[in-house]
Amino acid sequence: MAGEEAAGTQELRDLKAMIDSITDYEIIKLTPDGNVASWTRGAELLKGYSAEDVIGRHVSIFYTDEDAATGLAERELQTARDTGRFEFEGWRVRKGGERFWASVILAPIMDSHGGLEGYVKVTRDLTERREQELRLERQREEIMELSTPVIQVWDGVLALPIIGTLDSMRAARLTQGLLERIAASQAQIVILDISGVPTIDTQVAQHLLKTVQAANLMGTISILSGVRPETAQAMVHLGIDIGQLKSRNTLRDALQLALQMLRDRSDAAVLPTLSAGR
Amino acid sequence: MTVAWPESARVLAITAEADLIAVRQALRAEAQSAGLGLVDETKLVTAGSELARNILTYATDSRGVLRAEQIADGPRRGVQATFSDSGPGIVDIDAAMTDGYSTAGSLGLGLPGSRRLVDELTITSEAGRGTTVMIVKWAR
Amino acid sequence: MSETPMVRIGDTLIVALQGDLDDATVIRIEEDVSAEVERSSAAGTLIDVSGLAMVDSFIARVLARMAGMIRLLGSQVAVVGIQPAVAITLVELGVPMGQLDTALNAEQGIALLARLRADDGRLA
Repeated sequence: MAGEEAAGTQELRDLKAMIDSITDYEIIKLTPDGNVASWTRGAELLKGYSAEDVIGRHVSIFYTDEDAATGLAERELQTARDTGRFEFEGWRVRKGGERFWASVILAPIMDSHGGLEGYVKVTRDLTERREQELRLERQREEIMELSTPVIQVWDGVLALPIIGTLDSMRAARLTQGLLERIAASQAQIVILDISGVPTIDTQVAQHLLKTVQAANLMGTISILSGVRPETAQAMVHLGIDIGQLKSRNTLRDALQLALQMLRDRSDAAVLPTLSAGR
Repeated sequence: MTVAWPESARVLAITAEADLIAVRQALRAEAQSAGLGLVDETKLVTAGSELARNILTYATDSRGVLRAEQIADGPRRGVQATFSDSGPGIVDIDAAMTDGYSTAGSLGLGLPGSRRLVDELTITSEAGRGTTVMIVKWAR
Repeated sequence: MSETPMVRIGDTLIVALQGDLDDATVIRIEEDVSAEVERSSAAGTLIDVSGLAMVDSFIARVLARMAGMIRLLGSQVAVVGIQPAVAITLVELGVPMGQLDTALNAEQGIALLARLRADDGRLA
């Protein structure tokens, strides 16, 4: 019996040494109430606290103020209890207040009677990975921006040369970007140039027509340009009707039409209205 | 795995047209908590207004409930809003999801229109047993 | 005296809708504006919705109906200031808004009203 106990204790010591030697993860134990029950070198490196700083304190000290206020820690412990394991990414806070993006695994530890003995919590710092993801995301957006720039071609006239294929996500961004530019510049006319769009299918046409509808609703006139013969054929074939939307073969022709429209408008403004009241 | 936070859900009664403002404000607040951009927030609030209106128009006693909560799937955050009533139910859900369908005389644009504004829309309904419409909008 | 704030600039009536509007308020605005158009014989009416963060199908329908009413009363009418997010949402929602004359802002709105009036005169 004594031998078994000694062997068991040694095993525990070996385990503890093993866990302590992992320094780029934090592996700690929490009490059933969520208080810190153990601390490792890895935890100290990650969070900045020493063991005496945190043992006995509630795990929510590692959460951001907003998350702690809404009881996020308790909810995560509850989920771990309910489902047996909780894996999540979120913001955590080091000693001193510095935030980092963490990958957290919470698992309940049950004793031999099925009661809750506590939790094991494994935390990893994903800040670098997340920063890389954000960088890539920003790069992707910039590339998309470059391929769909909104250009002010004249006072009151915007042009959007669309280059490449249009999936739902890209179309949504395009529409939003264009409408925001219209609002910002108060442009009276917008030219949508599709000479750079390889294929017009029903979906692409729908995206375009919705964009035009939204611009018209705001009060801007839209002109389609760059419709090649093949595109026109495809559109007729698909039964796509552009309705009142004006179309021109080239961006240049579309711009000429736009300028003519602006001239007509300023002429109309100059002419006196002969009716007094009604 | 989608995680929700049921304890911090907002629950609102929908019993009068004045409640529509509360519905919109609740959805606006949830959208901002989840980090939805302005366009997505507007779409969510508008869809919610339409669905709440359906309850006032079609439900028995024009009564229903909105439950709105934050959801998450890994780092992705979103809003889940559930509109339920104990009204007559929708007999033909497919027909109701077609533009132009209506039984009450006005343009039946509530469901198909709302569907286009959100990422997910699930209807559970049985004739005589009421209707539950759940919508989800994720932050991009 | 109506509660809906309205401003008269020259022969143009301008009404601004803002905030979160419940149905009763929208209907009241419709009534007040119609009454004022009739009372003042305004030649043109601008409905400024730049303060609306959301327009659902009900508000959209009342706007269209209000515009129709104002035209019947002999005034030109335009809706100005529909926000990008609202425009995208209304198009996606599928509410028909084709009959409404719109402009980006009050200045362009007034120019639009003048053009509508000129067109009216030409067709007569």
